[in-house]
Amino acid sequence: MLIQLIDIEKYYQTGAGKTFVLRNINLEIDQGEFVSIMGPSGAGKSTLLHILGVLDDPSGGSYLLDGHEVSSLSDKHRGELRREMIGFIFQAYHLIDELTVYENIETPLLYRKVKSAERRGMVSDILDRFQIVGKKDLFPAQLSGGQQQVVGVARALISSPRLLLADEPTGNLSSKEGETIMGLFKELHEAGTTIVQATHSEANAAWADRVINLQDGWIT
Amino acid sequence: MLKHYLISTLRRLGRAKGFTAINIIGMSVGLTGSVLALLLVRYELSFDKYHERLDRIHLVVNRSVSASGKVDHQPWLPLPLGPELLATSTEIVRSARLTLGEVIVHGGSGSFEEDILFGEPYLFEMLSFAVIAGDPVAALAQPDGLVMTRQSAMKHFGTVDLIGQPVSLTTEAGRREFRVLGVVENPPAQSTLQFQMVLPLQAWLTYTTRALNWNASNTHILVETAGPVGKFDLTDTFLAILLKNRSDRAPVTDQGEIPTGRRYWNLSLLPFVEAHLSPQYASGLLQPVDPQNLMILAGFAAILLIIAIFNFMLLALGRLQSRFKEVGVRRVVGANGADLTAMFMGEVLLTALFALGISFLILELTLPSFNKLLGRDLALTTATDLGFWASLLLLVGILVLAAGLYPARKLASLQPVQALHGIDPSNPEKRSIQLGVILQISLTIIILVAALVINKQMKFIQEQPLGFNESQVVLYKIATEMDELPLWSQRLKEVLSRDSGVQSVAKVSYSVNRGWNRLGWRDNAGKPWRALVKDVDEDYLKTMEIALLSGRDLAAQDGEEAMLVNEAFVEAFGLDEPIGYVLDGFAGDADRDPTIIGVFSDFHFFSLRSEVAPMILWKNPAEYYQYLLARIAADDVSGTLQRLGDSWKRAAPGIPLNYNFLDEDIQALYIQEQKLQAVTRGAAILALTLSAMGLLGMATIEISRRTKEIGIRKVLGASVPEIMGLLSRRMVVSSLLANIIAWPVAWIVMQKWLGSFAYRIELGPGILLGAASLALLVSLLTLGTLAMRAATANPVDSLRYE
Ligand SMILES: Nc1ncnc2c1ncn2[C@@H]1O[C@H](COP(=O)(O)OP(=O)(O)OP(=O)(O)O)[C@@H](O)[C@H]1O
Ligand SMILES: [Mg+2]
Repeated sequence: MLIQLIDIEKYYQTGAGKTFVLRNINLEIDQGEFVSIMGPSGAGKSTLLHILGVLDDPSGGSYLLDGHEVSSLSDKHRGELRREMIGFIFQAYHLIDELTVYENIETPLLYRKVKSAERRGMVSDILDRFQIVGKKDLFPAQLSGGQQQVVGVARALISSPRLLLADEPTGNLSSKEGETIMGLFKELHEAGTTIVQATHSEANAAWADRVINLQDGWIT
Repeated sequence: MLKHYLISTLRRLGRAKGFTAINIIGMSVGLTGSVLALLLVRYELSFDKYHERLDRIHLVVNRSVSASGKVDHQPWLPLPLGPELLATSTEIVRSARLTLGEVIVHGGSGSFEEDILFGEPYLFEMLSFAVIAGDPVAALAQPDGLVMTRQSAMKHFGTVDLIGQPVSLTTEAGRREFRVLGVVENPPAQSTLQFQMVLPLQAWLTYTTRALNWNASNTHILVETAGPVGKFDLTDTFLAILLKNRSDRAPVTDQGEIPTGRRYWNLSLLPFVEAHLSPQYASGLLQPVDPQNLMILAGFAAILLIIAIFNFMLLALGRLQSRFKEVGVRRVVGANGADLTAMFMGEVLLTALFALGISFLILELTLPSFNKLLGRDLALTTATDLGFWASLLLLVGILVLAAGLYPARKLASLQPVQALHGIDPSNPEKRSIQLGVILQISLTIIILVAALVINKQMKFIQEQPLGFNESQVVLYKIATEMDELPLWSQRLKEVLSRDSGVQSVAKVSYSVNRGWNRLGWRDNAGKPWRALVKDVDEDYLKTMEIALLSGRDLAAQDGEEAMLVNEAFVEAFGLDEPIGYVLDGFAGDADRDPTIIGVFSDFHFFSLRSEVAPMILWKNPAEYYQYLLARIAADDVSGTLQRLGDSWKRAAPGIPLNYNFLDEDIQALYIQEQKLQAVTRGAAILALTLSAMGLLGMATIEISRRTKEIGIRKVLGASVPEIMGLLSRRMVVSSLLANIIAWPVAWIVMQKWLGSFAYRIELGPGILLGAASLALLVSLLTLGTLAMRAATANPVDSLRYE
């Protein structure tokens, strides 16, 4: 089992009391599964994904990733987990503005201390694979939304993560572009990657093995 | 990775050009100031270090304590003390008396006046001056020996190959022949002792008359001890010598107590290495620097650097939010806190290195004029010593850590999700930013107060009535043999007086601030007296325009029995009726009874750091007057000088024409202060500019953050002044609060500085308020231009900006 959430809850301290975003989440995801999380806006999908991606801490409960209790890990270990194991795709792309397409995609490899020659090969491969070789020296601001998302996906996949987390990856894309990305996910899934995506779209959700419904922070 | 960071940093710096410029300029100014201070302090601290036996060489000094407890630091000592120390103490193994003098060198190409040193042979054994030829020790043991430096040898003879060469010199004692028996290298720039030539002490006229006189203090004494001092104590030696030769100055009474009601001497050894940093022992020969002034300079440099650090830190904090997304993304792809800290610190380091490069450039350009101002030869290229570069490295390290660590930690401690969403978690930066602004403004105010105080004090000193009128007075030197002085001083006085442009001429033994004899004696009743005594003729008060308060002036027929004293003399010795008072026992001569015939008003002839001492003016019975003071009419000064020069040359072709203006001499007394004043002014302007730049940056951030708010308020009907007020309020409050920190610090520091002047300004609220308003004005002007632009902008534009 890759992911095990036990009684996870997340709340924010607001004014007088607590505002709960996630409650009582118990969830297990196996190695190689493709899972969709669905729910209305504000249901807590993004929050859950952030917790899964070790970007945020739950307020309570326990998260075991590959058997390790995440909350007890140091800052250094978390960084290691994120760069060695997890790929993250955002609806808002989140590329670094000062870096070119090439450099954005290369960044995770830098933190993994991949040698320069090897790095060049890996980035070239992925640029080829996503057919963005011609754009490699452009800055994010010079790309369309769809193109930026492709770069975001390429960046998430460059280190061949075991766990791919996607937060509404097609939210800002045309349905055709969305289709392509879903096709890609399917391929990755078949190759053994564990995928968890959050989505509003029934159609996209249907690409997964399993759909989890989230409502006001509860799994229903 | 390094390349990656470098690229993204350079792009980011390039994007925010304004902020980058503020940071780099600020840091380079701060660094330039610090490097200058570093160079200067290291320079001043490494004086005299080249003497091999430095740890054993000392200057004998005297802390003389008056009856009222006032301490007077004196490097001047009686001539017989030198041999007496050698004879009395086994711990003192060598001694050399030395003093400054002047000679006329009659060389192949004419006659030149030259400052020289009279010294004893051990001088060249104790101190390590490199010998080029001959034996300087043996030279000073000969009555006609002469030691020349390379420079003077080359100047007068064009060669250093001079051993045995006869040289004709005119000293006070007359013209005679000396032989060059030693040639040495020029004293290094970092040498306390500077000289062109050294003559044996016996060649000094004063020595021939005062060698055994314990009542006159007119020599410096250098001694070499058997080992480093500290192992032994010379207090008893000094006491024994005083009890034997000057019991009236012994620091203990017969009862073994500290004497009351009379002056006593505390003789001690000042390590020679400290001489350069002991301004209390300044003399013509020793020209020490005031460590306090060095500290003020270093303080200025530190403040400039701190302001630059604050600028950087505040701007970084203010713009932290613009980095959030990047930090979040880097977190997502696997950066940990240490990676992010390293990245940000790398940026700071890069900025600092840019700044360092620029400051080296600035230094290369400004060092020459700085050297000229300070009379030093500081250089970056000769600063090859490891210590300098290590300190510089340390400095840059401190700069980078101080400026970057706090913002870096802030960035690194962000939660990834918060960073991605651009959320400023608890927003504590707001308060630390405001605190930072306050601290920065207070530093600026401190520097402003310092600059205003120093400026005002210097002006005060220079405008302070000296008690005489120093303008339009020309000082002529009569460079001839002692025996001929009575003749020539009278003849040339007449020549000068005859000119229509000359109002009066006086004969004097020396210029204003030199040629004072320090005399002490006991009258027949045993009462101790002491005074500075100077030889002048009957036209001195008139020429100097010194007021006669009571009695009469000296007259042509007066001899050595008529004396003028100053107010301080009357006061110090409590003379109720000074006119007619008989100074029996004057100068230790029981048979003489000079009488006070008049009292003149106090005048200053040293720097205003010291108070006016009791003074006596009298006529030199032997008519040995070496100078003429001429007061000339204000109109056509250059014409008059021309005519006087011509008449001089006609009347005395054998005596070189040598004159200068008295007020120039007086200005020279304040040279250190003027340097300090110039440096302070520069530092203050830089500090003000730097903090204005920082505030400009802060205001830009603040206004861009509040663009939307301003738009909404305007839509709701706020007027331009209201919005300006809104935007300036925080700045005004910060500027006012800054004074709470700045005033006490500035007050304490500057009060201490003023303390070293006997005559000083009051450090009143005016200066503090002035500095405060100046700082407030500059911040308001800075902010005002920006706020004005924001306040008058079209509200729709600012809302759309969202
Ligand atoms: N820092 C915060 N402080 C307070 N509440 C927060 C904070 N961050 C998120 N929330 C709240 O948490 C809830 C869940 O947000 P989340 O982004 O997880 O929802 P979502 O399901 O992803 O919605 P969407 O489909 O719109 O992306 C929302 O109601 C949001 O207002
Ligand atoms: Mg969401």
